[in-house]
Amino acid sequence: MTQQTPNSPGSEQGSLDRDKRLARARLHLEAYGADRARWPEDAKALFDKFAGDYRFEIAREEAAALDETLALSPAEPAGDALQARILASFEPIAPHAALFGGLRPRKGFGRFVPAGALAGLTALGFAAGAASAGVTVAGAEDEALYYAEATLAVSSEEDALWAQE
Amino acid sequence: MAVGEDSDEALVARAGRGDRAAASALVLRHTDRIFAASYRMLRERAGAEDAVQETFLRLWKTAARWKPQGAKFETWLYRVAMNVCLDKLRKRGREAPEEAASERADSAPRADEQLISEERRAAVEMALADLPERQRQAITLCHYQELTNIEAADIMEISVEAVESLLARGRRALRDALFPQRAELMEGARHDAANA
Repeated sequence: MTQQTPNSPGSEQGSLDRDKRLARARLHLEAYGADRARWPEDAKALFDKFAGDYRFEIAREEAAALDETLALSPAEPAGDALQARILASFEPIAPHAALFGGLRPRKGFGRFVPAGALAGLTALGFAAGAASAGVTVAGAEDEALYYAEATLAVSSEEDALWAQE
Repeated sequence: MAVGEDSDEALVARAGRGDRAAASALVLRHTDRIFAASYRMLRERAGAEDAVQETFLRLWKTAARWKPQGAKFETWLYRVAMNVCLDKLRKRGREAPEEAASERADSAPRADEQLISEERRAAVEMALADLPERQRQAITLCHYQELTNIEAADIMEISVEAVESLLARGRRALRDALFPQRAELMEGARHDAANA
């Protein structure tokens, strides 16, 4: 291997490359701060390479000072009341609507019946209803198809609930 | 299987079938972090609570249709919350910093050290509130929520390079705001160099 002297082209190129990588390392300090754990995985090798280099350490101290200052602003806690409020705001999803996923009612083919109208019905009740219409319910998907095609009487108030979707 | 052991994706699938226990588990699991991020964006409690509630309501309504598509569920949740916050900010203008300061006003006498600590915290929060929205968002997600640059890029729907640029500019602005003497020194040094 050829020994490189300070004035040889090879060492000059190597010095330029090192300066570029150092500049890149300092940009990472500017973006991610002084804590190596916060750096992207693929940049940690760069951190390790320049740790101890005085130019890197000066920039790292500045970044650390900002990190410490930012830590003076702790996270604001949500509180239990918010969670309770969120859960209370969830309206019940109609069982068959849950089966349908993204399906929407089609005009002329019948309407979905919201959970309120079907309160108290069990899965057995659904199957019994389907059976009385002459349909064998083989599984959830078949049941979903049956309800998508069936014609059911629906009140205009319940229509409005579905119009909000 | 107990809901506590389920992955987010499994809970979303169950919530999509109307399972309220699964939906509750998701709310309990993620509310604190989503609220913390929303609060940093909006700088006032009521708005942050509304943003979080709206986020989880969207989840509840669309859970049956939710598909991972390569991203984690939490990434999706953050994205919705951040977009809700940005909408609120754009409608509200920049009144939040004053509201946040008045929320913290306390007339009771306090020890000097506590006062200094409160003042420093208020200074940090004011500096954060003064950042452009996208810089504040990048710093909230990467620095405070400790998400990776890839996750933040996914949430913000920009490139990783763009996230890094926002982070660097945001941190520079914070440094200039919080260490003004340094900013003045640097400005003086730049002026001297230009006139040399």
